[in-house]
Amino acid sequence: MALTETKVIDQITVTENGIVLYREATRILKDGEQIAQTYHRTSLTPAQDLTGQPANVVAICNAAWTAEVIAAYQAQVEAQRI
Amino acid sequence: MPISTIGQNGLNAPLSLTSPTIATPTFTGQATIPTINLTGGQITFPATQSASSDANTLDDYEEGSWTPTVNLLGTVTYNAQTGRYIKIGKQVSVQVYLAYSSSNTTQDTNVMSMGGFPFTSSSSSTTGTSCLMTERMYGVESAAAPNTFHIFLNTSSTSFSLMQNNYNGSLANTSYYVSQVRSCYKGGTQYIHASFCYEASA
Repeated sequence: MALTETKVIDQITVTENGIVLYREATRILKDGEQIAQTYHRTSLTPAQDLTGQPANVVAICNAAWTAEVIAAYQAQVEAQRI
Repeated sequence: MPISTIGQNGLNAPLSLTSPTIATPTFTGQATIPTINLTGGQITFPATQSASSDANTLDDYEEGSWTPTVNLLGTVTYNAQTGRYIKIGKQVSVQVYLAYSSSNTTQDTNVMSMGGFPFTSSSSSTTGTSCLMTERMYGVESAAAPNTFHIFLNTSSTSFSLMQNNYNGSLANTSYYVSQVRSCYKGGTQYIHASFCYEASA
C-alpha cells in the first residue's frame, strides 16, 4: 500500500473586475486511487504583490491586469471606501 | 448507471430506486420527484460549480481553507494566518484567525481591511451591508471600554473593511482607522478571531 499526496491548482477564475481566484487541491492517493481531497483558495486583487504565487497564476494575473483593469479596480475600491 | 428517463409515462411518473446495484444513480433532464430518500446520506456536487440563476436551486457545496490578510501600512508580519470556509449555494461562511504585527509607525487614515477572501462578494449586495463578527480582537482597541467590530461588505470584492461600534454610551458607528492600532506602534502582536457569512457572486 502506497500513500501519496499531490497538490494541483485545479481552478483559476478571473472575475470581471480583474480579481483572480484560484483553488489548490490537495489529493491523497492510495495505490494511485484518490481517497481524499481538500481545497485551499486564494484571491488576488489587481496590482497585488505576486511574490510566492504559482507561476501559472502569475502569468494569468500579468495578462489580466492591464493598466485599464488596475485603474478601474482602484476606482472601484475608492468608490467603496468608507 | 445513468438514469435518463423516468418511467414510460414521462417525467412525472413515479420513481423508485431500490436496486442495490445502482450505487450512484444519475438523473438528467427535469424530473418531478416528491421525495428523495438518501440512504447513503450524501449529496455530491461537481468540483466546479454549475451555477444556476434560479432562486430555488441549490447549485454548489464546497469546504476548504483560505489565507486571510490584513491591509495596513508598513510591512506586516504574520504569526498566524488561517481561514476556513464553507460555501452552500451563494452563502459563504468564513472563519478567520490572524495574529500579526506591523512595522507601521505613521498615522494612516485608511480604514483597516481584511483581504484574501475565497470568493468574490455579490455585485448585488448592498454596499455597506454589515455583518457582526463573532470575534475577539486584542491589541487593536485604543478605547478603554470594550468595542465590538463588524465587517463592512464591499461589492464584487474579496476585501472587506473593518468597522467598530462605539460602546461608550453611543450606538453610532465610527470607522476603524489604522491610526487606532496603537499597540502596532509598539511592535505588539494583534489578533483577530472572527466568523461571519456573506453572499458570493455565484
